[in-house]
Amino acid sequence: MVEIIAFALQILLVIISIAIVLHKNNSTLVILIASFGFVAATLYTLNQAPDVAIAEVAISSAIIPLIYVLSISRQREFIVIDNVDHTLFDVKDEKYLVVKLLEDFVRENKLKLNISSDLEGICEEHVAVANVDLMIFYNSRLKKFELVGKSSSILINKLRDSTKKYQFISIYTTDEGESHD
Amino acid sequence: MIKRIFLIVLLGFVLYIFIDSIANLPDIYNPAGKDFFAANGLDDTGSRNLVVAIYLDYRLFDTILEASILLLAVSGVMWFSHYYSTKKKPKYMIDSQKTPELFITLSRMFYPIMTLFGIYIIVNGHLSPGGGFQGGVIVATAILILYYIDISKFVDIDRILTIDKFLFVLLIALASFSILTRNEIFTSFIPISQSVEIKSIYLISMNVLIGIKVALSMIVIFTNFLREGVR
Repeated sequence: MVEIIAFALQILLVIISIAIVLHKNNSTLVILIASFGFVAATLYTLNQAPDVAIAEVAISSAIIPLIYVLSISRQREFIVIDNVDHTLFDVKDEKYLVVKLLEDFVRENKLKLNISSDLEGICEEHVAVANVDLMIFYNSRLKKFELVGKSSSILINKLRDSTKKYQFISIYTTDEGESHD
Repeated sequence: MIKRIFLIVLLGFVLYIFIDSIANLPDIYNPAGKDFFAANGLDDTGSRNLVVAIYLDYRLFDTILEASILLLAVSGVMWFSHYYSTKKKPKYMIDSQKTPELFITLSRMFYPIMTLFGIYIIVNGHLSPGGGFQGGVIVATAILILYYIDISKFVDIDRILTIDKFLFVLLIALASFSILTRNEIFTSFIPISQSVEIKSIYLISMNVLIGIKVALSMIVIFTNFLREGVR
């Protein structure tokens, strides 16, 4: 009886690992990886290795899914720092348009928008260093909104395509990598 | 092209080694070691769980190297994420993600049970399946669940890493203490003529040290992932 269960679990293990390779949805993948750990732990127990089974359950079904869930939930946000002076009333309509444009863009890409404003001591270098996707500046000489993002991000190129028709928006990129100190 | 030929030759070599080792399987996989540990394990080390007897007494040198590898891995993670330096302090990294209420309540219920279970596995490692590493990982999971309850919980990673290093030194000191009592290094410091209960003092203290070290290391790695450089 035990041999039949072990054989069935081995086949299940192969099926789960093929499913992990072929699947596309991230949250399903995390559950599949966790279930892989459970099946492997059951097999270890059947082969009389309870010590290894405890370690497998703890690592593969608790720690690794926790880390994956965290990383995926981080990827789902589009973090924007708004650095425009809000006392400039003459640009209020255009600014409203920029925010609305960003909202549409974020909705298209199935992300969540996270705008924060009125923060002190921000410069363009912070885009490369910190986990910020986009920063909004207002250039009063050219009367243009400057959007600064990472050059390695695919989303920035998409945003550039969708904002081509607006004259008052220009998009710059900074290189990701070494900080300057 | 040269790369591919090199790869194929390498794979062929690995296959040859594999087939060669399978050909004389009974020479490698004989039950001599198993019989030895089953016959002498309890008397030599005082551990009823033979896995603990092996990794805390017969092969203690390997365990210390494993602990050092864990310390190296944690230091590597810290070093790679250090370029988000402490000077700039990007304070505007905002944690606006909302955890579901059900998950928070369940975490509050499970946290004490998981901690207790982890400590049980650590302390009871020489009697039942388990040991320092497994129990340490369970304790670390229990503590990491706290992040889902309150994400703004502050942990000083540098201080934890310092404690981790001191624990490693303490581990080596306890392991090599036997050179004074038994005149051989990396084994139990309690003389072999003592009873099983007294020998378990060494096993429990070693397991507790390893458990705390593993739990702290896991917390450091996970917190680094979570904060992404925000200290």
